[in-house]
Amino acid sequence: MTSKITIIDYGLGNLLSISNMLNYLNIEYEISSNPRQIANSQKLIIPGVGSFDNAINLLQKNKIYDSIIKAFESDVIILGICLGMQILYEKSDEGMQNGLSILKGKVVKFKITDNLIIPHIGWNSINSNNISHFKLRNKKFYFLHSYHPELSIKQNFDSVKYSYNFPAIIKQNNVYGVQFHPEKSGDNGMQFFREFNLL
Amino acid sequence: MTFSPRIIASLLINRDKLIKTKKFKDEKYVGDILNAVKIFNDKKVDELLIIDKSIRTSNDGPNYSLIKNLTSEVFIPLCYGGGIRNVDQAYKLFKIGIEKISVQKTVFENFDNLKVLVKNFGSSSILFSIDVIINNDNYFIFDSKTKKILNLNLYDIIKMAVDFGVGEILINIVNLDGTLKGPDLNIIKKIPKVNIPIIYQGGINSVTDIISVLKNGFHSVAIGSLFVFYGKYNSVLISYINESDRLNINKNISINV
Repeated sequence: MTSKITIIDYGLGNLLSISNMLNYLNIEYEISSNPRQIANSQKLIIPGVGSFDNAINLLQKNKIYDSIIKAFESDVIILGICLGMQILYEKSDEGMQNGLSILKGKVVKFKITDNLIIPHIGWNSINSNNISHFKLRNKKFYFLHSYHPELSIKQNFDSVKYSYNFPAIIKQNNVYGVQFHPEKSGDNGMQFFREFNLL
Repeated sequence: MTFSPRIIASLLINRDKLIKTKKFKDEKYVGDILNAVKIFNDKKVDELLIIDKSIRTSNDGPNYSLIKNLTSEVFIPLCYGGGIRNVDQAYKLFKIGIEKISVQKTVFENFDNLKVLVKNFGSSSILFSIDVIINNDNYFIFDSKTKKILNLNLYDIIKMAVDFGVGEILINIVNLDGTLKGPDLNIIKKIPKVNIPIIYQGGINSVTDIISVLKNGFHSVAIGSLFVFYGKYNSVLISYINESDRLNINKNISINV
């Protein structure tokens, strides 16, 4: 038995893209903005398209901020996607607000070099396989971001190279995060959600 | 090389019809947009840019039910433009499965609108599209709704948009729209050197054209006619670059990664 996924609706993020893919894969899920339901969920997905402070403000406004922390404390499996992962950290270069601080470390802006084009937008492949549950090495995923978890993070991670290697998938106990958008990454995204579903 | 330059399919719609124009005129019906989007999804297109030109008045706003139908069918990145004027509309679009929004008129009306969008949604979700018309080797910004040239300087506008935090900029050449005549490679000289993606659109007719545009300094290309028409009578046939084209492009372009 796999546990049911709850996708958090906090007002930000491409909810429908994620639910479309889960529908297609016949993976059971619910969409919720109810703080109690989120705190008592079995498996959480935090979507994210937007800016850091805006996301944190919306989580607080919708009283979901504490629910995610409660879920974390009761060992719920959590997956943050893109900005949904970034807000799990303590701080971000993008904003002034404190993150959820479930994960130690901060989110930084791409190190600017002379010819580097930021945002990193497009398809890029994962180049390691440290998180053994996922088999994503050499698979291409769609990236759309200007910030990423700092390189010195304490979590286990698999990387992608854009100018330099940075974390693309992170894991710490029950908490997972992806910098790419699996819901927009075609077949490889489907593989990712299938593997996530089996956790 | 792991990162490849994006080859974007650019689709223009009028209500639920996929259309193609020539020099922003002579609208030709291509087919059903939902069907076209499904085919591009199967062809694993890097990204789809969908612009709805039927949204004209300030009251209209995007056709959410159509967009929802489109996002429900695909598992690829979608950028939508047409009638986006405020933050609430953008929230709705993201929620129903759009990753990026393309804005134009609302920015020309008030540059602060760009700032507000970036503040809410971050740089990477906002594309600023500029229609450019060439006249005697001079490049002007064109307003496709009023069909008038705007009294704005291309170089300055791009600089300002970058300062305001926009994620990327699309330059669409009106004179070359739908012509398949090959790209304009001089425009790059009119563009400041910036550190965000600049996408080129207009006249591309082959993989060789794609390579020359990317070698010319653009970071990505958006393509309309080449991906929807075929042969000298412009029969409708939806296509996309294949694996060997991709290898050829990647071999010729070294993105600094």
